[in-house]
Amino acid sequence: MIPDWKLERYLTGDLSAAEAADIRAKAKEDDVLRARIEELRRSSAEILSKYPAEEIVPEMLEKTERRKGFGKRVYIPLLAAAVLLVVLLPLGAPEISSLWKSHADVTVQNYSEDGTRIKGLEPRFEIWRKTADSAERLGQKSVARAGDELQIRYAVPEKCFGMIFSLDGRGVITYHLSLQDRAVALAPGKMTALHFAYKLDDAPYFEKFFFVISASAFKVEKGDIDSLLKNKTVRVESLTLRKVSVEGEK
Amino acid sequence: MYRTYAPMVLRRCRFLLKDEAEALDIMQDVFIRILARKDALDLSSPSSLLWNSATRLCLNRIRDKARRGISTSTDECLSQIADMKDERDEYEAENALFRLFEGEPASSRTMAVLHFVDGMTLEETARETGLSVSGVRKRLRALQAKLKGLEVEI
Repeated sequence: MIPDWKLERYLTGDLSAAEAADIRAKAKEDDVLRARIEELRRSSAEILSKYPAEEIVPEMLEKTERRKGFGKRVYIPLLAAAVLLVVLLPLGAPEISSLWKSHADVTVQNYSEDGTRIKGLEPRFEIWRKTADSAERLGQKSVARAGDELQIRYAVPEKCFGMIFSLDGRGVITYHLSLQDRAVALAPGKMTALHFAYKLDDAPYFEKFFFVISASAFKVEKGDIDSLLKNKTVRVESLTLRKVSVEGEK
Repeated sequence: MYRTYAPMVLRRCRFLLKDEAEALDIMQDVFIRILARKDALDLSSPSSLLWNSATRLCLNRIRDKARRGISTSTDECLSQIADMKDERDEYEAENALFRLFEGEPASSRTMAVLHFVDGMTLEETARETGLSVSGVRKRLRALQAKLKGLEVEI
């Protein structure tokens, strides 16, 4: 049987002339093969009608330009600033340039929502709930229900390691940002949304979210969250949602 | 290019992800990455590039969802492959956006899908991924121990 991937290439014209001729010849004899090809053609027409190039391509071009523009906007000025700093600092301010020789911690880089630098930012995370036509931010003790679709966002002021997990009323832990039980490296910058929304299940009472960060790598040892949260080398931010049943508000 | 190849890419993503919205998202991502690198790519016959890129991005999505405890309707074989440790993973995590198409060898996870799921022969998998047949066999055998119930073609 001719595999799907080969039929796809037959339709896009990416097979060699000999392979394409072979499929054409077989299709004349084979009703099933002919039907499969027809089904693919019908599906292609349906896809192009549902997602027409006139709509999707401009969207993609815009996103591509945004990505290119982001690189130029961010990296070129940063590079230029870094070069100027290295060249000029020792000349103009010898007392400051001596700091290069110190072993002090790296200066914290803080960014506002739009990526511009600000001061005094703390590590933070937010939970948003999808609504019919938009989204709403949830605060401490906000009411939530089974089926609510939540989006988590976070920002950190400097390079660090972090993880986000939640504990529900049944004692079940769900990792939202981690490599299994290990923290992942986080980069400073604007708010970052996790790739996926999280749908609340019917666990009762509460869902408590934890954003745990540390300057060094860490992991949850043998599922022992308590030890991690008590560890003095980590910083913990948390947010608790009150769960109510869908049938009745409590 | 969109009109010719988007249906193929979307069907690929639908098949792997079983979710229309996510499939559409990954399909766009595949084209965006190619657009961003179009000057450096040979796009005279891009089926293979698009197919493998879609496979790779879908596997990443399946793996990320599993790690966040989000259930997927993906079949067990794909879930296993998606969750495998891959020697390209760390590289990819660091250079996710633009290095996908710079001639690096395909990840072993992508190879596993081409061979075990798509039914490509070792020769076809090798041609797709730019490796020798023995190289593909070696890498797939190394993964086989982690993939229950699957056998590499001899």
